[in-house]
Amino acid sequence: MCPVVKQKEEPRKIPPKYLLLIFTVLCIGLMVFTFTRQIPLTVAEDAAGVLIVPFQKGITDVGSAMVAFVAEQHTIEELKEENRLLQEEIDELNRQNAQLLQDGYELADLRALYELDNSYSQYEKTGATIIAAGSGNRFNSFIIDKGRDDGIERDMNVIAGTGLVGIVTDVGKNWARVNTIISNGTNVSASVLHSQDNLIVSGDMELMQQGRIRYTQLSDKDKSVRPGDKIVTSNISDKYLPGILIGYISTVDTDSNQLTYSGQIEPIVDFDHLSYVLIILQKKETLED
Amino acid sequence: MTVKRILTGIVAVFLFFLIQSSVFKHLAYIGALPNLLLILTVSYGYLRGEQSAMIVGFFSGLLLDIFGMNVLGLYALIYVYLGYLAGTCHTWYEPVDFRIPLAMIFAGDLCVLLLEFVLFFVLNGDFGFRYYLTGKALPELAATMILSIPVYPLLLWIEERFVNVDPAEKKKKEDWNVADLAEAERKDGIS
Repeated sequence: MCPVVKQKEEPRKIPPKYLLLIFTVLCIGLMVFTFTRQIPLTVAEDAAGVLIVPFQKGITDVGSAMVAFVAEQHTIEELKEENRLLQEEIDELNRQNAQLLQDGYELADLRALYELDNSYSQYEKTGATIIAAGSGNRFNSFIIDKGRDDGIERDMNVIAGTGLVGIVTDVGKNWARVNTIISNGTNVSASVLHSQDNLIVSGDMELMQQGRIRYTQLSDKDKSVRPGDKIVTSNISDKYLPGILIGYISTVDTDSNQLTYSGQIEPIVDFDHLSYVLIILQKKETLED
Repeated sequence: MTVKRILTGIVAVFLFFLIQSSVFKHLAYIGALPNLLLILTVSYGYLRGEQSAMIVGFFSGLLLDIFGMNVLGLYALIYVYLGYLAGTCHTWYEPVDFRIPLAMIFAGDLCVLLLEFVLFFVLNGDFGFRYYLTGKALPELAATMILSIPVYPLLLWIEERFVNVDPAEKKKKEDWNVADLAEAERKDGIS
């Protein structure tokens, strides 16, 4: 008696609303369990690593070759630009040099720090190629081609050249994700090299596009901090090894409380053109061993 | 036909994620990354309906979660809902009209970008909406729209050429078209 003619064509389909409900419960369950770490992420990460990473490596190789080809076409312009930047760097270094020569006490301090600097260059490091951009908050993290099998662990520091790039936040079997210090919401405890004044370096969406990082809470009691001063990671940071160069101060502004200073830092790492990074295998928490 | 759908779905998610993460990272200099997986999810919603779009959305989101987030399931959830909403527009499916799917991709990307702003910026205590809008949201939206102009027709072509070749389905579609035409003619006659 029912007037509705039943369609025979789609007997297999679960009604969309039920499917939506199933997926919603599944996703929320995944979020809760992975957030509380009851289900380790590693299973999914390993599976994805095995399936995706080899292809990403291949594409990166081809892509790098293409980029290298294009880069050759722009060599002259780039060289000019690089020359200009180097000239700026020389100016900055000259300024710094003069300052250092003037102050014997600062020099002694720097020597002490230089030893520290040496010690960080003695840490065991491993090189890795960036094979993909991280997909979450997209500009700010990237995937490298080394993972748990190569001894990479969470919270290991990542550098490029002599500058700090970021920290390992996720590790798969053959890949790891690095969160950069310029990314939004990242805070690094740092200090001014010559005066040991502490400050907080914070990634910022707005400045990221100009290739700069913001710093806040600089407590500079003798007002000795000038643009061009070196900023390194601080001893009191809980995740970053001490004495890794972050960049140079480019502006100093007085905060409204008249006690602390804030401004911008020119990072030493060129985050736009990263392709190869070094991971320090020594972690801060195990440093005392 | 179902097998073909599943196969093309898997290949599309896999390929689009690879292109998105590995090829487009070279575009990051210009500050605009097109969101391919969003185009895929919304397009499948329009082409295939809720079920396919939700499954494609779930796996797209899961990949984004695995490679970009500390918690699994957040992007998966967002993309499942995106797929569901896009899938409800499947009733308007009409192969020759590109305006509806492009508008859907635009609306979907806008929603996801606003949601990302709330989740990753506002909840972090960062309220710089203007910079988010001009620095990330608008370039990404523009890049996604520009890319969807070739990508959607490609998906449509694959769908029509290889997937929807089941005779019963074809006949059904023709019947639909005939019915639509009759309806349109009737309306014209009245006005």
